[in-house]
Amino acid sequence: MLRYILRRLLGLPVVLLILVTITFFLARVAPGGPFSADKNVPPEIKANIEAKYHLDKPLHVQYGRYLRDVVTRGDLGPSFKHKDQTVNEIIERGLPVSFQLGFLAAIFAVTFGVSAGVIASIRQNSWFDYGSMSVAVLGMTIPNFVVGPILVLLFARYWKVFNVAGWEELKDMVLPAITLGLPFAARIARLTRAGMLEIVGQDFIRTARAKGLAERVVIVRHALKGGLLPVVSFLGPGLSYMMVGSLVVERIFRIPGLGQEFIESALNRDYTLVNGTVLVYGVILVVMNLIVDVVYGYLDPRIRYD
Amino acid sequence: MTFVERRTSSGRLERSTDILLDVRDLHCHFKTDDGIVKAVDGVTFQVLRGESLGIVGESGSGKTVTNMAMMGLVPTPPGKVWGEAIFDGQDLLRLGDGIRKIRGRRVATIFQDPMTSLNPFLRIERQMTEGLQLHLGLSRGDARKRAVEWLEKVGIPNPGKRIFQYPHEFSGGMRQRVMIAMALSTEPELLIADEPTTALDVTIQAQILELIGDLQRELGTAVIMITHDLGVVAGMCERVVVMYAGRIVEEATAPDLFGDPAHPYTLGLLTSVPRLDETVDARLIPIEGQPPNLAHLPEGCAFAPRCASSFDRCSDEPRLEDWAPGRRRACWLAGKPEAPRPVGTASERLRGPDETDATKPAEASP
Repeated sequence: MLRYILRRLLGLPVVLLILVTITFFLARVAPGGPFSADKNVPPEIKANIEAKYHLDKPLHVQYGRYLRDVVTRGDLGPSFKHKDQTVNEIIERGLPVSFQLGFLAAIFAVTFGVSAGVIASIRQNSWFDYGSMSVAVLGMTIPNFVVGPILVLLFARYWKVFNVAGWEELKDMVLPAITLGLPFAARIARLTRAGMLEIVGQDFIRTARAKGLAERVVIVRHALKGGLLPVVSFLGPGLSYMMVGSLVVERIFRIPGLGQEFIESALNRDYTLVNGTVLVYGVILVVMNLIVDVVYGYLDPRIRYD
Repeated sequence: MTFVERRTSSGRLERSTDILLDVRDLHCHFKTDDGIVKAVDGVTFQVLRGESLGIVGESGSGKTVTNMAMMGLVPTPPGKVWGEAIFDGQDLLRLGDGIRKIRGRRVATIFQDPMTSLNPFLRIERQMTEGLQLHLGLSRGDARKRAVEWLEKVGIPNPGKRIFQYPHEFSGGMRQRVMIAMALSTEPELLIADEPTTALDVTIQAQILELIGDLQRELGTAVIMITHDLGVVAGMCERVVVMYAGRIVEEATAPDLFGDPAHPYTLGLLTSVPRLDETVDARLIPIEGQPPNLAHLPEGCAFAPRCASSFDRCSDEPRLEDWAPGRRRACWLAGKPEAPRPVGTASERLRGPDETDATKPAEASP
């Protein structure tokens, strides 16, 4: 098991190198550049700026230099757009916030998704089943830029339970976490229900019932492990997505997370920041998938690590 | 010894005193889009203490559903179960949730496919100890000790170590041994063996049947052996119930049934089994046609459309009635059905020259 984890971690740098390379060149291929939107800049000044950021050098030299800085010093370079800020600083500032929010959203999504899915599967075709699954479809289809403002209207403006926006106190995290987690909760609920229904139809569940076990024991001990396997597979990319932040949720609730940098850096052609955020996402994704694979193996003993 | 006495008492006279399970007019219907499927439609039979009763029939004849319905294992809806199943004075169908005290404790079940009947996600240890803890109130440690003893008893080598393995680490035959150990470790009074050997290799089948037989004699457990394999019934059971389309068509002792089948369907089953002493090119006589659609049963006798002896009366439904001492059948024929062609007795056909097991219990009587 430990060897398996180590081997997977050893593969991480290779994955990241490929990721950085592709991102680096893709960003450069895109039309425009970090300073092309600045109007009325005399050519001399523009040349000066480009020289400062080494944009005047050939592409392969820029790539080599960037790679060297990242590998040897972990230096992701200066941001092209945020004045006097390095990409490292931006990530260090935004990522913990996004992590916090993502973590809460994940807890919300898993708790509600799994319990709703399990109950719906036990009471298949009941009003709870139809009700919760309809809500789940809504949760998946209504975009979060609609859900967020509705929650704000109801809970902040109308009932005044929470603040409209901000990121100061603990309760400020509630509405954003729900907004971010809702589509995932919905997805998890449906996956759980489907997974549980498949397991509950298996012969070994009949065996468990024939032993005289209480239905609760049959579900929790005999069905849940297998029924949650699809959910666990989904959690790899799902958790990564929640952890790295969401532009929309951060905008609605004015949260200083990393999600907005993701989109804006690409729109601004902020090459270093694009690379930096993609790199962060890559690391999170690889690590999450590794965790998921380990958990999967724990849940299903038939899986071998070799 | 007690077993043999019970076995010899299996005649009609002493039945009333020794009945362990009394199933009366059991029904199990399923509501489907195609109409109401009458999977079990008025089944009546008894199981005596310590005896082994065979239930035979084709796939879909209602053998399995009969037992699942009895044990409350049929999901309702879509299923609907009624009738009576009196186990030691209690009607299993009216116990509600209380049936869990009987399931796995006093009535245990072994299922057909040991590959899928054991939980792949749990260690054998957990799967064996949970029943012992629940029903016998043992601690986990004591339950484990007992489970290991039982694994040893059913012939699992190195049980102290293997109990901590998962089902996929066992072969099919070994898994069925685990299932048997699991089922019998609470020392139930009745064991329902639902096609316990169907999914196994032929060589393993014999071992498993022998194991069930040995343990049955040792514990005095009654066994309901559900099977479509007449050879299994001949080797294991004292009495046999033949089911067709959700009903019992014939009931007799095993020697009577094989030597002198009273229902055309039973006869058809026997003549469609290959015989070991026949030449390879000898032809089997299959039962023509298909089992009926249980949602659209024909009027009258369900077997009539496939029956060589059917006549005008068969459009009425025959009732299961006493036909000879200790025998029942549901057929309008005045006498015995005609064999499709002259062959040796059905009993010879089935057992072949090297049959041994079937008569063993009888020889053992004092």
